[in-house]
Amino acid sequence: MKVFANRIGFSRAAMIVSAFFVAASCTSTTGTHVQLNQTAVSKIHSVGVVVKKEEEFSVRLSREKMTDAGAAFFGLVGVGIEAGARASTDSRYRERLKPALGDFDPVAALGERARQTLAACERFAQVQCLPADNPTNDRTEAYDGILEITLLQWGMRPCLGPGGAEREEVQAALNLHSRMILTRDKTTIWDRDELYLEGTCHSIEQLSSHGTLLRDALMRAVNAAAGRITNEILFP
Amino acid sequence: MLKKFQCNLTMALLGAALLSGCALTTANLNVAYKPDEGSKSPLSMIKPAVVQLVVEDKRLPQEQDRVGNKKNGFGAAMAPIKTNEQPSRILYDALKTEFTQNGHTVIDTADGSKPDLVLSVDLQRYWCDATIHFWDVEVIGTINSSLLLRTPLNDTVLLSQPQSSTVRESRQVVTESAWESVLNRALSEYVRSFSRDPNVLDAMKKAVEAVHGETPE
Repeated sequence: MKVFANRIGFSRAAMIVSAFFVAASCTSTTGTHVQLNQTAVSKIHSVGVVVKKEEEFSVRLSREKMTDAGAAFFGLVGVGIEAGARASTDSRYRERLKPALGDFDPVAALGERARQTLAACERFAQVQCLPADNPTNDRTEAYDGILEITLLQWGMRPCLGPGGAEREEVQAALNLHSRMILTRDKTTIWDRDELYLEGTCHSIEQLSSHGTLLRDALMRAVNAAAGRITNEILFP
Repeated sequence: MLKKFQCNLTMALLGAALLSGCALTTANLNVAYKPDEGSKSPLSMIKPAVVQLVVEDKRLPQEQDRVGNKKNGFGAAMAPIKTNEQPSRILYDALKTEFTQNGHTVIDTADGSKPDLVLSVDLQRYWCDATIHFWDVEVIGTINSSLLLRTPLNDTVLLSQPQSSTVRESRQVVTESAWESVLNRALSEYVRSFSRDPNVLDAMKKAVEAVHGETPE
């Protein structure tokens, strides 16, 4: 690496930093990345719905207010300190909300809702939820297409607007990646990133102390997001 | 002496450059719905209807003169971000365009016309924001609203539900074009999800059926 770096006139440190930048993934831009091919979808008669999650319930209130302050005063170390402090604050919020969350399972709720809405349109002869732990098993092969929904992040995010930010209010949020795969040749015929913000704003205090407020908000987000995903498939 | 003067001049110029930066000037964005020419949505599958469309601005008072705030690196709000048209007007025009493009007629009841259905939209939030991450800046545009669709025949409410859209972009530098882009995309997503929502389509079919007394096509 050193030889290569010297040859093109870069220092090794610059090369490492550049490599880091290239390797690091940025926030995904939402929207449809692969448009649904009507010809391909017409060949799908049975659909298996697989829902996975990449992380547990989280609150991203403080982390969404990252500033340049840490970097301005202490460089990269400062950024790390600020990020750590904010992550710690969010962890405390999450722990406060956990009792109100109970055994809410977004994977099961999202899968069932997506299955229901796809089945209700009567476009596919068979729609079934499949377990996410082994998506390439024999059961998956029994379906023409697999709708794979990945919950990249689920929980609470800050309410947008000056009112929400000042009052430290949060709303239910789902960060999703969805794709439709043809099982025959494993090609992705539809791919979409979605950030679903539910829109109803509450304080952490309200959510932790008012019965089913948190679960209701998350369930509304799950239902609406599942509807949005299936509508995109039914009406590309 | 000369060196000190040069130093002070440099500092002053640097300060002036920083203070006159674009974070202190109001952004005026051109936000409008731009449909794909000739494209049809599932709204076109419903028999042509006469729609009375009402969009009311129900945003919080502190949000009504803007659709976002430019922020400095420390998170403090600097200059407002505004749109050239009122957001409620932008939403009205967008929905009207979508209805018209799919064969429906949007009327103004002031001239005494009678609609087949009434769609009331309460706009609750129309906002863009940015969050600094380690590698990029996340720019978000969002629209929150509630819909009420009723038939004027017996004033029955056929649909009452929230309708929203959120769009996120990953940027390295946030300029006015970034704000404009997320707000335009959020508007397109809003209209797209509205015109594909089975609840909206069902309610419209019922309204048309009630008025014309026949099963819609």
